[in-house]
Amino acid sequence: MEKALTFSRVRRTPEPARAAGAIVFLRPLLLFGVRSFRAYYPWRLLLTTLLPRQFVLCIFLTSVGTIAGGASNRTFAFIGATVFAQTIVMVNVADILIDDRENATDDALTTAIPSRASILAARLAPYPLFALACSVAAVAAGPFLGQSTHLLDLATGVPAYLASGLSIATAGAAFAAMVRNAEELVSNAVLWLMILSGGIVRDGAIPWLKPLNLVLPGKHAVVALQNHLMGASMVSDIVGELAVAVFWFLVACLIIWVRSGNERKSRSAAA
Amino acid sequence: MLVEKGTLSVVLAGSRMQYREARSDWFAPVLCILQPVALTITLAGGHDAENGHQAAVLVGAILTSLWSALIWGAGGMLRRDQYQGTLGAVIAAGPYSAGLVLLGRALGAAARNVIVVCLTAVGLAAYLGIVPPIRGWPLLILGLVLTVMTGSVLGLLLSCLFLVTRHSQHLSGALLYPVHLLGGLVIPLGMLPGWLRWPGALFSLHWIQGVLVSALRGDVPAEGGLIAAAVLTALYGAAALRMFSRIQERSRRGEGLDF
Repeated sequence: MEKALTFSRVRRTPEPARAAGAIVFLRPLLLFGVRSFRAYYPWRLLLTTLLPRQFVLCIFLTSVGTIAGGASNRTFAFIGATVFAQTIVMVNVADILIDDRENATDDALTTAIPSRASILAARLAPYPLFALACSVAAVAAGPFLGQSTHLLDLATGVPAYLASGLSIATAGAAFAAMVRNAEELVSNAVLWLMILSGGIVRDGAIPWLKPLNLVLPGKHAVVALQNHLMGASMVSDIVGELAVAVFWFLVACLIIWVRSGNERKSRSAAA
Repeated sequence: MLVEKGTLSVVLAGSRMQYREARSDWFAPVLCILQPVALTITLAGGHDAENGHQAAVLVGAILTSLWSALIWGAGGMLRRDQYQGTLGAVIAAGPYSAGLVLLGRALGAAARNVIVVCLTAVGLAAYLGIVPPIRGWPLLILGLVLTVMTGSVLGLLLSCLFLVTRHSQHLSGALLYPVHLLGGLVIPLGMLPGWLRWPGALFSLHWIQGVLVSALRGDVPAEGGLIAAAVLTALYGAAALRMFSRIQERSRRGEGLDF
């Protein structure tokens, strides 16, 4: 009985101390996240390949939307393309989990003192901003697509782009955690699912895929921006997008928590 | 010397090995099935039901997806060897010509992608109601053979290109959409400004698209397209072999490549 009480005291850290611990850990964790991002994506790489790629992707998707839906569909396709340009973030986030496994750092993370969820959150932190930068690169293609008149409206739609960046980053982590050895498969498939379920062609969605719009990242942001361009409020759709982000983050944490527990009990994660 | 005893068996062994490796790749379901389906369904909605337009959309979507699969699959062939630590053996230590082995492997990777993408095309053609006329079959088969050949040498070229840069993954991403946009496969070159139309002529799949669409429509053979595609394929092959020789020389001198 005495032994059990002792263990109980040691394991139950008081709540204020837990909160203090979280704050103490927060700064180095965030710094770790930012430095990790900078190591993966130096400025030279961002400016020469990643962001120009989103610029070209936006032109490509807008052109596809224009061919499919006619000239009247061009603005609709352009708005969708500026949000879908963020989907590259899903692949980038999946790369974090792949590299952990391939570089055998998974074991260290499984036994780390900050929880894996907090480490994941810190490492994801820079990605919504990166997603925003992807959208900025895509919006920059506007003048080449005859969309100069909408640039100012889209610039004031930054909250919608940030919300979609959040949900795309968390969904990328969740998809990568769900499927082992095929992380990039899911992330790449999502772009095409987003297109098939509507987004660059008005009324072009496959009907039985429409329910996916409820949980697919970025779809609420597209609606928010379309409303914004028509002068309506985008608050409710941004809230919807944030709810999608929270949903996918919880899914990612749950999968990682279960997997870490199993790996601690049984064997090496990297094996 | 390129042709020596056992040349064919070396090429076949290389292609069989790469074909088996490609079976476990993640991208085939997405890039060779989902992407062409999504592109065809999206774009076919914008065209009238005339057989010719639908055929152009189908072939464009299929070849665009093939390009994506080449970039992510065959393009990463040597990079994966480098990662797995077998690049040194592949380049220098094998008993056969490394160029032949690599050519066989590129052929295997391209054949795998072409087979999957063709099966998708058959399904999509049935969905769109496209039936190639009998007189178009010889041209169709010729076009498909040309597609495998150009896919092989493009894979080889990309593979060598990605080996000499640290950021191969991002370079592959950067190469993906410019070709989608400027290659004239799904976006007609007529939609681009005049000064942006010439890069499409340097892309062999652009000419192959013309050949395959002619075959599906039962038009007269597109000799110009066939010749242009064959010449470009030969040029890609020469460039790939030259680049691979340079890589071999560098590796023998101990420069640049980290095994």
